[in-house]
Amino acid sequence: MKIGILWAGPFGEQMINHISLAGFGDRIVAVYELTPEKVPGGARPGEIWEDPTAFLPLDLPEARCDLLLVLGVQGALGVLVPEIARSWRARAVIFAIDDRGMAPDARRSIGEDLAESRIHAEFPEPFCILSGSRNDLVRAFAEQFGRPAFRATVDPATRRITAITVLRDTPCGTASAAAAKLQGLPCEPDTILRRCYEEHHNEEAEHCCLAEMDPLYPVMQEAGDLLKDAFFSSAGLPTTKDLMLRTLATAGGEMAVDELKARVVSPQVQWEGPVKGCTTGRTVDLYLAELAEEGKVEIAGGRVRLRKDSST
Amino acid sequence: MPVTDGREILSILLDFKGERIREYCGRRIGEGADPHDIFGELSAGLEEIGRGFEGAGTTRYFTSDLIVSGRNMKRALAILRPHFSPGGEKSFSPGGEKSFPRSGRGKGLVVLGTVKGDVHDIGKMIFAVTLESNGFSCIDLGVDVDREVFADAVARHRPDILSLSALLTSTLPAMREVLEELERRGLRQQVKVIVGGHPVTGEFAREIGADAWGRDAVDGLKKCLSFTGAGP
Repeated sequence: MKIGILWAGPFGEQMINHISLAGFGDRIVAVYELTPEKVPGGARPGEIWEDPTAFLPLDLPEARCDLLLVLGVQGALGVLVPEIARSWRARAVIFAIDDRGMAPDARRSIGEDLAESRIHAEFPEPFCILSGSRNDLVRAFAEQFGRPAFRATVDPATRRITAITVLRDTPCGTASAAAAKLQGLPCEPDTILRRCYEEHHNEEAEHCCLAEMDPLYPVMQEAGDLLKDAFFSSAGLPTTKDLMLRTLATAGGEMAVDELKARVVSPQVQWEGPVKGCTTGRTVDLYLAELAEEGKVEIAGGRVRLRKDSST
Repeated sequence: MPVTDGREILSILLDFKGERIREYCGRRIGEGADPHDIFGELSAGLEEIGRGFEGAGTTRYFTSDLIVSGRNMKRALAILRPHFSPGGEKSFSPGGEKSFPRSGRGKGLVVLGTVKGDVHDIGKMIFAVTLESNGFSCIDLGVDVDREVFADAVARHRPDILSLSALLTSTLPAMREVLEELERRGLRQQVKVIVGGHPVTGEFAREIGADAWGRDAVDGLKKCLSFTGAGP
């Protein structure tokens, strides 16, 4: 698989660095920094939409790739991506969105434009939510990078984590960085929770999460939750999903989604005290969608209900 | 006079690996540049990135840009601090981020922190360095600070000034909560409160009952000097 990359800013640089060093370096055949300054004539978004081909950067290299990654590019330039994807003969595009400013102005139109050229497109938001795909190229990438997954070994006598294997790393590298810090620690929730979020949110660390953290768009928090739950799952500790199902069961099997969020979400990372599952409602929404797909819950009219045939 | 143009400064601040900021600071110091001027150039760059993040600048910046430029500013400070001359109006005190109370209060003791829900460090860091360079002692509580932690620090250290920082509009209510916590615990009258950050306005500062609003680091410094009677 040949990979082409459009990137901008520290976010793009972080991803490229990690993806390259983590084993995909020899697959990257083209890397181009796509910034507004590169667009001929300093076009306004409306003008770009009228004829994107007229606004392709003049120094865009010729390349041929299978998968095109879009990393940290300003959303307003997203309309150029289909033209570049066609130019580079890409068959799939992963357009990562870890910040509202990275979200293309017309995601659906871009997706449809690409689809008309038989180019598959995905817009993971955040990038580390990617866990699989019906597209072979995206799936191959997502086997290595995306939603974190681990295999942990816990010593039954000491209850310490003796080994952690990273099954899928985050594109930024937080998962493998955090895993290294967890080895040898006691396998108990507060300790893992603290170390996990500390590593994930640590702005001093090379692999810290650089996603947007505004409470109105808390993708960094969601990414932290995914990391924490991946560790918990691998270590046999109750995950947010477990807590959600248990909360539903003890409430008679049905409750308002907002009520469920109030019970399992703590906007602050809690090291100790009452167990909260995650730090943002976005994570609950994601997990509810997954639980519904797994056939464990039904969601309708703002309420969630345990399916009678599901096992909690 | 700056020898590096604004775009170059921005590029240096946004360098993910942080190699260029080290090279830049080392080179400028080697050339005999005043470390305060270097700090000023970098601060101007950070403010441009902050404006862009808020959608008010010429270029749109993301959270990742804020984090990396803040990280680079810390690297720069680590290089510049030893070159700041001791004593005098233009001096910078030793100590660093998340440091703690040094002996003496200088022109006054300031407790700083970014309010709950907000992990942005840059503006607070620039303000702390500006204060320290002008004779204040600072206690930096860090980012994402609970109102209880602010109140505890006021009770424990009895600072002259409490400085609250925020970069996100959505975390402005947390500033009000800190002031309410101070009132609730009977601490409000013993400390002056100054608020700042890109979304903060003078009107908002008055509305929540703060004593002052710092439009930028220099403006905040003037307000702090006036609070402690050390100003002009």
